[in-house]
Amino acid sequence: MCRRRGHLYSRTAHTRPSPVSQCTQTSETTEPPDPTKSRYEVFCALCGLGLIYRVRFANSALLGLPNPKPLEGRVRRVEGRMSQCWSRNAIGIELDPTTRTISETTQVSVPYVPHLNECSQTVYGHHIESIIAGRCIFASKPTRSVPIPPGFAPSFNWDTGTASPVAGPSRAGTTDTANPPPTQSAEKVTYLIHGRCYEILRFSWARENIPWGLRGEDLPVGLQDIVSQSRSGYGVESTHHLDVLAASPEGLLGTRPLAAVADITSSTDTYTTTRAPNTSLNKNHLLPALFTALHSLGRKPGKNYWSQKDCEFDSEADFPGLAESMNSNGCNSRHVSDPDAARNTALDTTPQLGIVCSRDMWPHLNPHNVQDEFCPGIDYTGAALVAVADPIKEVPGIRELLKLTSPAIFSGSQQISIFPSPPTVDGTIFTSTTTFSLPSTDNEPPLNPSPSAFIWSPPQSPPRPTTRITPRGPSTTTDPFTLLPPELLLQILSYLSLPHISSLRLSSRYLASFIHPTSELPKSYFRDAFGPGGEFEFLLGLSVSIPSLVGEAQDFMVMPERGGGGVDWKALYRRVQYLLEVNPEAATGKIENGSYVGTEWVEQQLGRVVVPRSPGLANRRRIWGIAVKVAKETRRLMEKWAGGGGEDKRCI
Amino acid sequence: MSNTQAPATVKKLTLVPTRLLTLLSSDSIEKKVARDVAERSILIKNMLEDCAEFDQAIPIPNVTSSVLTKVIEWCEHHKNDPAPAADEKVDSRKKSTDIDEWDQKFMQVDQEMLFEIILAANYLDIKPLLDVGCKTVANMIKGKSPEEIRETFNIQNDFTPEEEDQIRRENQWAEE
Repeated sequence: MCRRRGHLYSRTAHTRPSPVSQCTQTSETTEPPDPTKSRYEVFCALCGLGLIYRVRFANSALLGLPNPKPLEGRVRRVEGRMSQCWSRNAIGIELDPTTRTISETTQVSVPYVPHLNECSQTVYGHHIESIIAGRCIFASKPTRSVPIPPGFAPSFNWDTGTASPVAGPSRAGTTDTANPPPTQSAEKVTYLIHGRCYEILRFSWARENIPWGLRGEDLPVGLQDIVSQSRSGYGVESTHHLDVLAASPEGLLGTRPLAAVADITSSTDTYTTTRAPNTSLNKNHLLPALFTALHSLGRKPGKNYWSQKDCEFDSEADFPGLAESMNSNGCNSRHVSDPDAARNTALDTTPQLGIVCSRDMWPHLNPHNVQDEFCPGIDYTGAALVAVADPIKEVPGIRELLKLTSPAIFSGSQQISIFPSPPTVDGTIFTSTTTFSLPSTDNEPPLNPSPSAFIWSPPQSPPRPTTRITPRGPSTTTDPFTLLPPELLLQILSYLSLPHISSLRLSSRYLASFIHPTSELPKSYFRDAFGPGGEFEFLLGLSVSIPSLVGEAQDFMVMPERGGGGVDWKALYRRVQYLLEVNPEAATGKIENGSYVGTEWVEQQLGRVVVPRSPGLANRRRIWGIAVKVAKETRRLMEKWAGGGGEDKRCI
Repeated sequence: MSNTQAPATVKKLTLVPTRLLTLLSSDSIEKKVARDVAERSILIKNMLEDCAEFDQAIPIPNVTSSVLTKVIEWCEHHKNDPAPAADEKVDSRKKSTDIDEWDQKFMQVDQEMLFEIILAANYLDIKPLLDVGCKTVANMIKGKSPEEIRETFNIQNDFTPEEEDQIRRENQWAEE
């Protein structure tokens, strides 16, 4: 039990807030918030990788949840950048640093801005029903329970939440009507996310009855809006599906398309198969989705997967001790579930990830109609995260808690249908937060995992242009860049970073046709970023007179000319760019005692890229150190024998 | 004493004409330039090394007289600069704004002239001048939106929406 703001909460006596319906404001907390609690750790709600940001609000009054005022602009400071965060939909947790208990949770919507030091964040309230073992579980606030007839009758009335029982097969004719699921039920819940109201029909049923692949028009009328389904039965079978949609904030905002849907199917306890449901899916985007799912499953990645070919990875090796094997190929194959496998699992820990999205986004969410890119220009701002459930830890009283709080979570099986209602007032804080404070356990996932927990890397292969931009057009008559030969254009580009080049391409037809930012920039462009004056010169220390560093770095820099592969400068550049986004502080390398410090983390991370391609590099570093010592000693002895006697401490 | 000094003076004066070269621009304008100034151009320097003396004007067919005047002005100002090492790394995104103050003023010319100077520097193989020109252009691009770049360089936007989408998609990798 814990006392918070005058309310008593306990794990077993959770006071539910009044049902929320149609986005009406519900206020429960009446006491003013504690202004001393101003420390919020924020983590990505979608990737769930942990608390990676710290947001300081002016005070907790900003999260004084009954207050309906928009909180825009009142975030005092955001430390760090959220560039590595997929969704920019973060969850803020008020964390007591001494007891590591969580007393308040809210959803922090962080619009995509390049640098979040500007106070442009908006905080929205979000109903959080439970926090378990330091992790959040979004839970719905059921407004009513809706019995669903077999076959999911087409006459289901969304307004009333009722359906007339019409038995019979679905359009696809694959529903087992002869043996209807015994315990189908649905809950209609309402969310206010990003200022928009969403009604979500959440289904759960005791046994599988909708074959995988029933999507879109295959679904019975009334359920065609189902965008994510996962099947399992509480206490019946542990076969579960996990649909993961990973949408980047850019995708959501329609400026940078990313989307991936992964179907993770676990048919036994010993292996997991995952596949992209569409061959056109960008595998670079799929993997993060898978990793998100795996992370939610409690798996810890053991290595960087991006180097592996064609999205294949063996999680038996990669997730030691968990005995899985994963394969993201076989994109066209349909899932074949094994309903007989692994029955009688009392507690299904299936996590759910889902996306609440605007109607425009639905086609992209359909795994059988998934597009690897969203269309720029379409407003996806209505998209948001709706449900995240982390592996439920067996903490004392957890079952009772779950039974009391969210049976849907307990069952571990949800089918989410999204039915957005008209938008309501933007920025309204929707609910008061009713949370628990649970003591941390030793086994709980770290609240602030080390940077090594970042499990996905940037895309390794840049998108190739499908067709060339025509170099000639009306603009070429006035475009001064048409005057310059390619080598001069390249020299100008060498002074520009990639974002500048991108802007340049968007401004000049000639340049857009002339160069593709990744496939045609010369190796030297990326290599020189690590050279003197380059963006990442501090990494190799070329600009300082440290013999060991300079020697090694120069050696390193000429590797591509040695043939046999050498360094993949593009990959290295991209990797470093990504790493420094993840951990900007790592870029603040400084010289202390003749050597660079502060870049160890980046160098350590770089090893993943560099070492496999240049296995001799690590050895050279070690050998060089030995050689310097030997040389010093030799020189000292020579001078001593020559009668000098002095000890020359200079490095030879 | 005066008798001994006078011939020296005469000798010095008579040497001056021999150190002057004549450059002939593409519009047939002759420019007199000191040899050490002209030798900032590797092209001219190599020509002079190959041919001991140039009695006639050296044709610079790709450079107009106005541009040649500017180039000569730059070379005269930088005639005492140390020659760049052959293997010097010049690519430096970080230092692209590091342009000498005099050079910055020198490059405050209209855009056509700027690009002409770059082309002339490239043709005449005057690497430091070429660097300054390219850096100047790069600095004009830095920090600008596509629209601002178009405005700066007077580029007409003739992209179709589809083409713009395509470029944005292609740029994604770079912008991430």
